[in-house]
Amino acid sequence: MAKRYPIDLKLSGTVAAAGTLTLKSDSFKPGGLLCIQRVSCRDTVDSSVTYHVSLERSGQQLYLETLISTVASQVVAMKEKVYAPSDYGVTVEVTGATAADIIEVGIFGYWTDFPG
Amino acid sequence: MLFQRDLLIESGKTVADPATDTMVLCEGTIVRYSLLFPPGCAGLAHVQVWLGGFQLIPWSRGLWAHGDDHSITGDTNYPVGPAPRIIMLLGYNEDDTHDHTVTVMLEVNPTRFTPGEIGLEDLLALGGLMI
Repeated sequence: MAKRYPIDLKLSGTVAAAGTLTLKSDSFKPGGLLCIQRVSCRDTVDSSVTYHVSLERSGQQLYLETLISTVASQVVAMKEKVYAPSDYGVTVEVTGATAADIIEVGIFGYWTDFPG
Repeated sequence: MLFQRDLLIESGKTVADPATDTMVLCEGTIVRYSLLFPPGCAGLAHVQVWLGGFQLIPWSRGLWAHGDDHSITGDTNYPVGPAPRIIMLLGYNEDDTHDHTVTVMLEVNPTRFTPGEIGLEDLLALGGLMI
């Protein structure tokens, strides 16, 4: 079995005046298999925030899931794990937040070489 | 519903670093597949199709489909669950001169589909083609 290299990333950012924010991870390693097991998001201040989670590489975007929090500091997370080529990165687009809020995103999973 | 994608496999792509592309399907069952190898591939372009973390086509792990002026077609019964429904296409190319393009077609019997759930613009943005 190919070795699995764990992914445990934390992204954070400050919401712009328009109430939006986009957080992007770097692309992972090319030439392998990426498994995103969980993407979790939270806004420590605002209660109703929408997070659009997708995978992205060189202009190609794969929509995954929309997460909606209804309580301040509520952690919302993807329900299904997803597999993709490992040169994709994770993008989270935040809408409906209050300006200057801090958004935190956790990305967990692994990448591995294709068995060939 | 037929989903189709052309996989461009550049010259020199290897098993260790294959060309990759993706398709997004609707929820349902994959009932038929076709891999179209145009004339000129000369058996040098090799393709695998993955669903989730598993190799789907060819079913034998580690094997790659290849051909020349030939389509590999089969009936299947693979369920495609709730979103995200990402198909991965992998290819490597033993041709040291020419790139090759292999067309992958998947026919899906949708279990739940309402017109407008997936718009044409969404499909084009996602890289799939619905006919």
